[in-house]
Amino acid sequence: MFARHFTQPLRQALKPSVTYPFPWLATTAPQIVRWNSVSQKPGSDHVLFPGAVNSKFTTTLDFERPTQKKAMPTYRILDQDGAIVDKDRDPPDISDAELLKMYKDMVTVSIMDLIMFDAQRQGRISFYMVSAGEEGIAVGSASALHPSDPIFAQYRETGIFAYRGFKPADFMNQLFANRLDPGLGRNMPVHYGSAELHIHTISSPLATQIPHAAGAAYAVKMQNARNPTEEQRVVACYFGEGAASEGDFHAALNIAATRSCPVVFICRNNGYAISTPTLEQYRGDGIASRGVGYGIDTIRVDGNDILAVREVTKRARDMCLEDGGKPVLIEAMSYRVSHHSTSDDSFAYRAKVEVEDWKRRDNPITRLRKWMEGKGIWNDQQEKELRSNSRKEILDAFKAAEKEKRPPLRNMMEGIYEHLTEEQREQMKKMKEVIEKYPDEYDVSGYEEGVEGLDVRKQ
Amino acid sequence: MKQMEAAATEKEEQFQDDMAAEIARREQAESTAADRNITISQLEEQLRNLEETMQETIQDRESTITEQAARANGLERDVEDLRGTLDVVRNEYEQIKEDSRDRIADLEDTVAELRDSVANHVQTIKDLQEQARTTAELHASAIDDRDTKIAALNHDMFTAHSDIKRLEAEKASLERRVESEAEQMLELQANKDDEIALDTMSVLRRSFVVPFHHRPVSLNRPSPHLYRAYSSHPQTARLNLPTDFSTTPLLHHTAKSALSNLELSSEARNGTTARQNLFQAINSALAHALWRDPRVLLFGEDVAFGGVFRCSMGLASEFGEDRVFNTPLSEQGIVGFAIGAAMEGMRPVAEIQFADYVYPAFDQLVNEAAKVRFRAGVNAESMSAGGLVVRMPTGGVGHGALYHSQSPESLFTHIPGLRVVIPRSPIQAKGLLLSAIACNDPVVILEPKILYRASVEHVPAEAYELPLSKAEVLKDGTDATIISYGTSLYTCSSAVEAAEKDLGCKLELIDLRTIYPWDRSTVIDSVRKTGKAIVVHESMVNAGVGAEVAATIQESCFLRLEAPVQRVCGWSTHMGLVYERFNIPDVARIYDAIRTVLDY
Repeated sequence: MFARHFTQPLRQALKPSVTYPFPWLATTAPQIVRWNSVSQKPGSDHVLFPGAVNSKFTTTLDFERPTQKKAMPTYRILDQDGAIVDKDRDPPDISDAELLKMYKDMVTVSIMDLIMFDAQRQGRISFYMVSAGEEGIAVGSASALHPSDPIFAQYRETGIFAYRGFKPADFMNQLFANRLDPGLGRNMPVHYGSAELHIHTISSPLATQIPHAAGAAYAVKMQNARNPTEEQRVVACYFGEGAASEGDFHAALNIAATRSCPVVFICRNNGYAISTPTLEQYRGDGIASRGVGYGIDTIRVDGNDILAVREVTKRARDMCLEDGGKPVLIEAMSYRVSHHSTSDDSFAYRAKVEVEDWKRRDNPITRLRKWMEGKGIWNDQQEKELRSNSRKEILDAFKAAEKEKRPPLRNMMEGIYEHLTEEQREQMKKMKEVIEKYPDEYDVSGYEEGVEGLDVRKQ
Repeated sequence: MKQMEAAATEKEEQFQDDMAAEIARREQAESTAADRNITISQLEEQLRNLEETMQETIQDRESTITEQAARANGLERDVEDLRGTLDVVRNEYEQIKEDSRDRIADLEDTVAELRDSVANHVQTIKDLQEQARTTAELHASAIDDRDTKIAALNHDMFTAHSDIKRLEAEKASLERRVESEAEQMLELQANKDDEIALDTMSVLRRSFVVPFHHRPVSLNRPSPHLYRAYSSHPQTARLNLPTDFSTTPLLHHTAKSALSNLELSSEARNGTTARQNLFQAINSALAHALWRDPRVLLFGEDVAFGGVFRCSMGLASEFGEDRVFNTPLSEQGIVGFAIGAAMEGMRPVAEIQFADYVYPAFDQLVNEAAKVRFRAGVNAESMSAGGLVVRMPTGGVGHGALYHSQSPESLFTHIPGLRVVIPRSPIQAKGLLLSAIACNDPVVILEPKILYRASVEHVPAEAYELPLSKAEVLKDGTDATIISYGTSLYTCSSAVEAAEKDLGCKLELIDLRTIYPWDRSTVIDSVRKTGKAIVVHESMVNAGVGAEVAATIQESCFLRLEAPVQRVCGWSTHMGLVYERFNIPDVARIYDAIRTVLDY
């Protein structure tokens, strides 16, 4: 810390640390090269400064101007009608069963979103966040990962939980924070997590998971090396374009690049961070250009094209494991069709017609449906059945979860440390005494074990 | 010879015959010639005639040719013209063809889009139908719950009716006020130039009125009351009832009581009031500050559209997006940026969307904002972060869980250099915020977010400042002192009321307001009088504000103390969603602590 104080002058510390990426300067895959000397041959046309080893001298005074560069293209396979755009390419390498699973997962999530948004409006749950319009990014990318790849997600990727095996009951138990909730009633709704599915529990603060993903990828890389015969894993990390403004995002990309971490960063660029549109969120060519700036292989993909998302993630995963490991950044473009959350009314800052236009124009679910109908593996009857079955399953799970009691009250204190502290034990005792002394003032019947739930378990 | 003669004769005769024949022939020829001459002259005549005719014809023809040539020329020009026209027409035709092709393509697109749209609409209709079915099912299962609530609602309705009457009366008076304030505004506009010349303090004390109700207040967001309470109050509860903000003695329910506050400037005391909730009072303070001091800036995430808690509503349009603006989503950026602006002479008000999200800015606050003045040495006058205000919503809301209900104030009270303020009410929020903006030290203001809408009182319409680092005795008492701040004061007030009624005691209630550097003497004086003290706050008990207050009391009032200082605080844990009500101090726990110290 001292060193930092002395080497970093005050003014510099106060300057906004905006680093414009210069994609055109980026070299190919990062190689670990140690430069022993900055000495330079007389007459050399290269800069040999350690900070820019491949830069040629020039006598032209010319600034690189990001606004004059062409935007990075957006990869797609299907057009809006669900037809393959490039007629010369092979059809996507995907089985019908896999297609159907992906489709069903997207539809299930979208139906659950409708029901739970409404349930929140009725006061049945306290909060909810839908992922309308972005189901394809979550499900498509999850389908390209190995089930054992650890995932660090934000809060709008319900589809990855559905794809990896969350059942309606798993969602509902968390949403109702009941005794079966793996989060033990501690987290706000939609903060799911599952050790079995290798998805770390969602945390509300933005971008904090991105450096975690880099560190986890480094762990995975070392474990891969130790177990070369097992499935070589990568880490997947999800976040939105708003989160990419946080320092954590930049720290994460930089450290992942320098430590060659096998991590797929998946940015859902949906155009809005609550009310803030991308124009006020960043300048330059999207989040993708940041990746290039950090020397990370990067692609932009149409988030409404689930097959493209899948193919891109698959390739990214392979690349992550090349050259001893490296990060890859995917910027998946979409539009936040919904409000930010049930606490938000987005029509206070964007026109309803804008949303309606987007909804009409494109949607990952209908696009895949068109493709499947074109292939002859889906029809209206199946659609109807899927929708009515999903709805029924969700509502059944809804009703069951709502009836369950909450977890025992000791979960208020447990889990802070591996073991309760002496101070916490005393506090639990105090709380229990107050409840027993003023029984009319507390209703603990909704909690499993009632007031006994505050008893310390034998450890 | 004879023969010769005969021959000659014959010859002669022959000759004679030939002659005669010849003559006849000649005569014949002559007559023929004469005839011919006649014929020739006739022919010549004819020829002349013919020639004449020819001449005439030729002339005719020539004139005709000339005419024709002229006509041909004319026609050629016509042809040329027509060709030009044709080209134009052809171009037009091509254009039209092109356009038509585009139009057809467009129309085809439109048709496709419409078809899609129809399909989507059909889908939407299906979805809506499904949703409706779902909703119907949900509603059906909700009806049972609702029945039990109807009785309560009926009662509420009765209350609401009387509220409506009261509000209507208020509306009328507000409308009258709007008029008078509009007049004042005009006057102020005229006086503005003069005012700029005045010194800072007199400017501060100028009576500015920015009528809040000139801006529309959108209340179309989901009401917090809709949220499911994770632990409802039992029917039997007498103490643990929700705060009744319409009757609590901590809020000024009349203009008269609001204006009787001696801390207010005389301008404020002689002015009018507006019934405002806490976010409206903040908005009003921000408007005053932006209005009177061009150095004031307001920014943060989602600030431009009014902020997620509506504190900056209407300010971007009123004061321009150069002064009120959205920042990218980066707390360290927001606070660092604000510090820099303050160091170069502005008075930035930075908003952190939730106190729960302030931690990325911790380095900036602890290592920069708090230390700028100290490290600048003799340059401190012009190189401090004075004028910096960082606002953030704080505290429990009943369902905020780990990341929307935190109270991180004690992390800041540990840092000398930062002033840490937590207002309890709209009046306090307005006055303390204006003081913070005027203060030459960096100030962190934690605004209890549950009070943004819940607490409503008469707020003086003028700009006024309330003192920083000064506690306020809300209620005099003799038997015990209760020290708190923010939302917990309402819980304390309920406990005090119940305890005084049940136990026949008289309790003193103190609002710290600024929790660091805090008003030690007010607390010490009170505890020296009562001999008993209880500190109450929402945030964790461990190393909390209560620890500092209790330690100071122990140091300064040891010989006067008649009972151990009690701390009624959040437990040493994080804010679990369904445990929030058991974690945040409730009336029963404070009541029990009062009993404990009184019985000691």
